[in-house]
Amino acid sequence: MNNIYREQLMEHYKHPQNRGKMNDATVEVTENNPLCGDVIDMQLKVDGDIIQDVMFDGSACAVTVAASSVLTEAVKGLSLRQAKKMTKEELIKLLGVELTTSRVKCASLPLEALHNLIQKYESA
Amino acid sequence: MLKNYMLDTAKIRQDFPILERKVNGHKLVYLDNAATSQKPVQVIEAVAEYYKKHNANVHRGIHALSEEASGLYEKARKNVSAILGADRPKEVIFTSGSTESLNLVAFGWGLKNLQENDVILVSDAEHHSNLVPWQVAAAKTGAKLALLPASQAVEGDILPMLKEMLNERVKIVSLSHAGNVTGAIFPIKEVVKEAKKVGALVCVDGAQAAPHLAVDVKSLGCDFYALSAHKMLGPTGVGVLWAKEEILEDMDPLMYGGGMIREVQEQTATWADAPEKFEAGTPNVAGVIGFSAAIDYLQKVGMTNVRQHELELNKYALEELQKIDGLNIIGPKDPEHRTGLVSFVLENLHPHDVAAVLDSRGVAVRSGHHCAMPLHKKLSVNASTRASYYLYNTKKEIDALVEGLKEAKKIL
Repeated sequence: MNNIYREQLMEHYKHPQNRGKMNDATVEVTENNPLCGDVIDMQLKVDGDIIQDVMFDGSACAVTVAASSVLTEAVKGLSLRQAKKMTKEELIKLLGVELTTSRVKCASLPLEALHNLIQKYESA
Repeated sequence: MLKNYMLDTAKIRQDFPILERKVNGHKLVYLDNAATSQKPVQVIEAVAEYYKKHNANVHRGIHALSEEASGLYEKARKNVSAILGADRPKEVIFTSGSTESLNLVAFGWGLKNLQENDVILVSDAEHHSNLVPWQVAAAKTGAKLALLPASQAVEGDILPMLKEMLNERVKIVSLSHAGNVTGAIFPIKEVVKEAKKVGALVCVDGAQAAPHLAVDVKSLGCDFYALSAHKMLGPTGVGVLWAKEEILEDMDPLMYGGGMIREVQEQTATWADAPEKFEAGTPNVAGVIGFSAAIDYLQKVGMTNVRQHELELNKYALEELQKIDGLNIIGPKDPEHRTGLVSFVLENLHPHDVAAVLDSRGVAVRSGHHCAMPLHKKLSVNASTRASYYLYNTKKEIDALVEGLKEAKKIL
């Protein structure tokens, strides 16, 4: 199980990509994990149908932080339609680790945030 | 009691087959007892024995098996009544756990007795099960819910703030006997004395205390006492609400149906007396019988011995954990002021990650908000890690915890 803290995940945890806040976000959401009380904020900047920029912030466990980092990297530049198709299985694959059920929830937190962002944007 | 007394854990552990298990290649170090305890063979066998030899529905049949099952079920009630120091077994209601017990108080008593502008007093250190039912009961009755700032109490001494908040409008004070995060033991006897002065009832959530302390409801003087069997060596799905007989008479059931009635007409029905009134449907007979065996087990070891053993573990754990850089302990510093658990936060490390590293070494702890979100908010942390021990745990296992934490600091 220690193997979830492998190099790739730890690299994203210690040096996360796209962490912070942007001033010109098109839409933003806050997502929480009721299991542990973790909260992440995510912001999206959309141009036409394209995700120009995406950032996350908040305090969370290594799995959530690394997943947020990997996810934001992966969807930047994608169309909303493409980004919507991202599944948690694909995200976990990108993380390169095997997760137990309880930790899958940690990894899917940023994905839920992203899906909610897109939904919020589209219904606005 | 001998100073530094500890239980013969080598002998006790022989009764707990699960403790022989390996987890992730390591011998299991089970330190999640505040979530649920492990079960001795005596309990497992009592449940199996019931199903093998006596299984029948209770209180319904004339036949031999039903008589036997009913006898075992009612004997368990007497057993519970005895360990709680209660006057009458009929004051013992079997529920599915302390959550149901507390809901029964909030709705069975609360909806019938609370009025607009009455005050329900709980603390900000309660498990959600002793908070959320009261939020809903308050909303339904127009009563106000007030929170004692117990998170700020030094060493669990809530009496000064309690005195300040008590007045004639307070109708019920509902507090944990021991905190599930802080471990703090609240001075229930003194709380009751103060509450009586303004005529308020006192409900005690004993889920984290009954497994670890000798409880005597008469000496405490409280009106309700809730507990869960599975945290005290018993099966899951069984709990108890003890309440004074005259209060039970003045309460409505949560559930209606078979077994709880006196007489049923086409349009109306009347209820049986307690405890049947509150036990509609087929109860968890096997679980209750298993719980009775758990009580026998604990009685044989002796609750004061269990407490003494945990005090030694408390002292040792607090000492050893404090040596770790950046580790902050939540709750009382004096081992005497807490039950057998310690929650802590490791600076810059998320409790989930800490627990995952510990798990990789076979050490089972709990991480998260432990169903106490308002408390964690007051303490300004998202979550914490909790190690909780019981009569089979050893100092060596505390060492394994400490080693695991050092490893977590290194990896993360």
